[in-house]
Amino acid sequence: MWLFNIYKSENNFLYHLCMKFSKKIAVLMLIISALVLAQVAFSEAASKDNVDRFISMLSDEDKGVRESAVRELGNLEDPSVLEALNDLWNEEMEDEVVFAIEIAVSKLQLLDIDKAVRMNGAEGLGEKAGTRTAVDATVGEIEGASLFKQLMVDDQEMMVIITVLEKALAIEKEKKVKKAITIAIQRYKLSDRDSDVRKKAAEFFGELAHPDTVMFLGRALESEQDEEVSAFIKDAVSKTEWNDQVAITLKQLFNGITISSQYLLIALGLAITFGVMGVINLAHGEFLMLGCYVALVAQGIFASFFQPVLGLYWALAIPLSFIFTAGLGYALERSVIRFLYKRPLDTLLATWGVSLLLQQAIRNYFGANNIDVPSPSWLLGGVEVLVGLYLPYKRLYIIGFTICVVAAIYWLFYRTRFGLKIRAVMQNREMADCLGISTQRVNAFTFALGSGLAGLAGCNMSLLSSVGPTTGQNYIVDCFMVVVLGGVGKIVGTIAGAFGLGETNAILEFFTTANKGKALTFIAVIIFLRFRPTGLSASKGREDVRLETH
Amino acid sequence: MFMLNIEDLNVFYGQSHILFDVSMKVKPGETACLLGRNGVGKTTLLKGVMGLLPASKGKIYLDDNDVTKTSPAQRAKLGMGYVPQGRDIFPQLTVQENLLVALEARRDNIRKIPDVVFELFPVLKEFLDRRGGDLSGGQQQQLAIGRALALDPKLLILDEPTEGIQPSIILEIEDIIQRIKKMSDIAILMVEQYLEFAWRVADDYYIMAKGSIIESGRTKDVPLENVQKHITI
Amino acid sequence: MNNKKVGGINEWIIAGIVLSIFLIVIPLLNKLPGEDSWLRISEFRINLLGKFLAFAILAMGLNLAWGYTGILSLGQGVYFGLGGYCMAMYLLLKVGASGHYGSALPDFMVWNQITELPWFWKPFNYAWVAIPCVILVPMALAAGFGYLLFRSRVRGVYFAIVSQALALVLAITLVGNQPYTGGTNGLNDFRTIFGFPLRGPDLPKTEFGLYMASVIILFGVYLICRWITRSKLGRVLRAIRDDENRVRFSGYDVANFKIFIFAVAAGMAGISGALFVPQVGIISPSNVGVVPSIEMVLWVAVGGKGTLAGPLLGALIVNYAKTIFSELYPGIWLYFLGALFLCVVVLFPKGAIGIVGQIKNLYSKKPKHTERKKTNIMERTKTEERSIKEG
Repeated sequence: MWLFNIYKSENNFLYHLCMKFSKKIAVLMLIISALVLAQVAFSEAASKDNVDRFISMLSDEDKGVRESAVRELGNLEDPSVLEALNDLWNEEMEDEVVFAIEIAVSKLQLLDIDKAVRMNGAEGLGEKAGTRTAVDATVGEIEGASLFKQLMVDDQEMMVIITVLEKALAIEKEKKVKKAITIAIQRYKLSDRDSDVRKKAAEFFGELAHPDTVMFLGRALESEQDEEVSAFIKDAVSKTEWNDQVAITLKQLFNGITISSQYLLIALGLAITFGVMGVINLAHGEFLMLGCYVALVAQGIFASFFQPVLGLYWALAIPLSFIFTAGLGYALERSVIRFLYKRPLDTLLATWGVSLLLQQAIRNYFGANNIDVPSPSWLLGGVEVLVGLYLPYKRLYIIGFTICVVAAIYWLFYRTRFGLKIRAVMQNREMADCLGISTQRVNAFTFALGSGLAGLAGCNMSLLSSVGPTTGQNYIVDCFMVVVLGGVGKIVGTIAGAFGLGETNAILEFFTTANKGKALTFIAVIIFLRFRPTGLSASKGREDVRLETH
Repeated sequence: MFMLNIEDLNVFYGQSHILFDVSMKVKPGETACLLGRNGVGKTTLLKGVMGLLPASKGKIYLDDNDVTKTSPAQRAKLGMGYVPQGRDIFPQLTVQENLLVALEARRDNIRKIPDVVFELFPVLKEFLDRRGGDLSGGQQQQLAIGRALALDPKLLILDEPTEGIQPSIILEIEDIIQRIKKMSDIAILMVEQYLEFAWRVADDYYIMAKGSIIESGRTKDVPLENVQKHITI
Repeated sequence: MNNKKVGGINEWIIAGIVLSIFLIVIPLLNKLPGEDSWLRISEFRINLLGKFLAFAILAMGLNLAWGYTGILSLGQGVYFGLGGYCMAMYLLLKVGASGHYGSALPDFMVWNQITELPWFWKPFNYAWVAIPCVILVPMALAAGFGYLLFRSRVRGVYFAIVSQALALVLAITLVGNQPYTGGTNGLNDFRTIFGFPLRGPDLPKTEFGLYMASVIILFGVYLICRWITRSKLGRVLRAIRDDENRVRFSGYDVANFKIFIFAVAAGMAGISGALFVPQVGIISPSNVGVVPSIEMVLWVAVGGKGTLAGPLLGALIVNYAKTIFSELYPGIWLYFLGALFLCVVVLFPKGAIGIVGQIKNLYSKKPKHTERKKTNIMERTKTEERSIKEG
């Protein structure tokens, strides 16, 4: 477990930290097991001996001895024992001992300098509170209830844990960890013998209304005998459930926006090439896939040569993915597609051929299996904007990146000479030619731009999922549908198409399954075309040029 | 010295032979008018001159440069301004953008719409931000001519500039062509069905039938009635 | 068009020769030569050939839509799959209680804890329902799909990619409804077809019968295609391919023609699927999705679109190549396939049939212009329009 490796490296510092508090620990230990800890209270050296003794007890044959040794170690506030506990945890067969180890480890984790580890500890201890209600609820009904009884935090143990938690709370500075500790404490209080304490805890959870608490509130409600407290818990549950619903809805919406952004980035390239040249590039998905692999390669380069600044690989991956795929698109246009402008249907087939070649080439070079590209560390984690609504930085980044790209494309199209040329060619290729615009060059650069956008999208895709030779195929049909839905000729159409499709998909998926959601979305688009064949943004002059067959 | 010199031009439209050994010459500052019934190949000739259709035989010289093998874009850059029959305004571009596009073909790399365009067509100045597709037919015709002038042409190619345009605008266009002739040495090659108009603005006339020039001459030497028989159906 | 005479020999003679090769020579080469003779065509090869001929039926239909009418469908696997699944459902229900679980339900349903036969499976107990369904279900879907799109004048590349989406829809629907469709595994493990065994020592005999059936049905489909393309209808279809608007302005309801021919193509794809299933013994979503659908287009492209015999030739060439490559160099097949797509489209747009003419053209002295093909088409349409009006 990686958590424990941290202890190894920080051993000295933690050791000193623990020594600082050793007096207080001693007082605490007196209460719990005065007999064993009597010696510890008087000298640090003695406590060191105790550690060694308890650790040696861990290998005792009697599980009772092991269990009590674990308990003692857990109360020692000495992180150096974590390793021994961890070793035992890996081998231990007896449920009671495992249970004790987990509690002990969580307690020790509360003392860590890494806030994530402290969070873990608090949450781990909080989880164990659930055993108290679970047992009460099932006593007499389930066989082996006695076992559950043993796997339960008893009142005495609970007192100890609460004390540990409160102490940790007092010195805790991190807001998040504080909250986690508070929740853990309140969870224990929810199972207190005193109904007033339980009532207060229920009130606390009512105010908190955090979706994560719904499960154990439900269990607490089942085992609750006191009607007054029951009412409070019910109130807390309903508040929490409401919040939960809101959070789930918003989360679904947010996920829809993320996937829409990806669609947009991919479909934008398709729509531009289709708008300008009347050509759909079936290898567009493979350019996306290549973008993923560029990210992989960039990550690999940094991992081997610039390990200390590994997170910066992204700064290489983004431009490289664009340049690489744009260059490939340029080559494809010059070598194949320019001979097929009068035959758009044949372009479909030729680019499909290219897609097969690219897929197989990647398969030969990188293997057929999906590979995870480790995301840059600064994109890990996220922000909780509402109770229970946790937005990962990766997804926020993807949305922001897409906004930037769309803005850049807008600028290119409507504020630059090149954009003017593209738009002129889009609307009347022959006339643009007669006015001195080299339509060949516009074609080539547009195709390169579209391919480059696919590469960028691929680079971002590596944040969301693992990449494989068929990654492109999984998304490409969706993006064709975005183009069809959005219509051609205007960027805003593609934006509408992407979000229309992304959100419809997210909503339908929510009510059915992923497969059915997608199938229904596509069918909806096909029916939509019956009424708006030119898509959401109907642009004049499409009939004549771009839907032409042959 | 000729601004445009066509020698024995042959053009195919697909597999069908449309133009047979067409030769014609236009001097700087002069206007040549191409006459003939529908379907004799007048528009094909203009497209051949512009480079939209390839020449299978013959030569085209613009200001003594052989342009026979060049693309339309290259010809535009050498100084051909083309006003096609349907006017072919970019419908989604504004008037200003329509004019800016033509600057791509300028030899002097000036990126400003020349003032002469607005002097000749003040209405364009008014409608700078209006979309090309929203203009009336006459305004589109003015924009199309203005656009061709914006690229600073040596040769202006006009395909039926009066077609489908109300009489008052026709007079205006006639006036503009006269002004262009006066203030520059631009050569004009024009296809026109409206004889009186043609006779007023053109210096030379060429009559086409079945893909060949059957008669040509100076307009001032020949009364209009003499050519009418070739044109009327 | 030089359809009437191919290389100066009457087309009927060629058709007769080809038919007798398939019906007489190949069976004889299976029976007569000794086991080890190089002339002998093994049962395995005959079964393969039967499968390829089934594919050729689909290719002929697709050619009607793409080669003659200009409708490129990248989702022909949908109709192939529907025909195949209809057949497979019938075959599977004929297994009856002799399955692994001894239930009247197909094994995969038992495994998925389905207790009663779903309503849409019930009609497939009867051959007289299943056989017409093989053709009618794909045709109905194609007509509905065509109605939605052709009526809105969706065409060309647009139509192609929307039809591709339909293939994805069918594939994920089949995968997602495992209890009713067999999911990713598809439908397999058939026992008999019309009383003939689909397993055991007598299987080659059944397969031989299926091969002969494929040949005869293919010939029938060929006759239908020939009749359609030679008729006035065929002229309208070619006119639509060459210039749809012109035909519309001449007063024809283009959408109806397109819907009709698309449905006919779908029906042929359905037959193809139905012949495929007993010969291969399985149909699964991997036979109907996006990738197989586009491979079907390649059959037509390789043989030569817009020619009657092209699809047959293409289906045989591509599938034999696929068999050989996957036997000898499995890793290279995709490279070959990709290169084939590229070469055929860029270098041989008229396919194998057109190569002869292309070589002839190379040496002809007519001036070559880039615009030639397009105008040619327009002119042909003009004359055809005239003949349509007169006729």
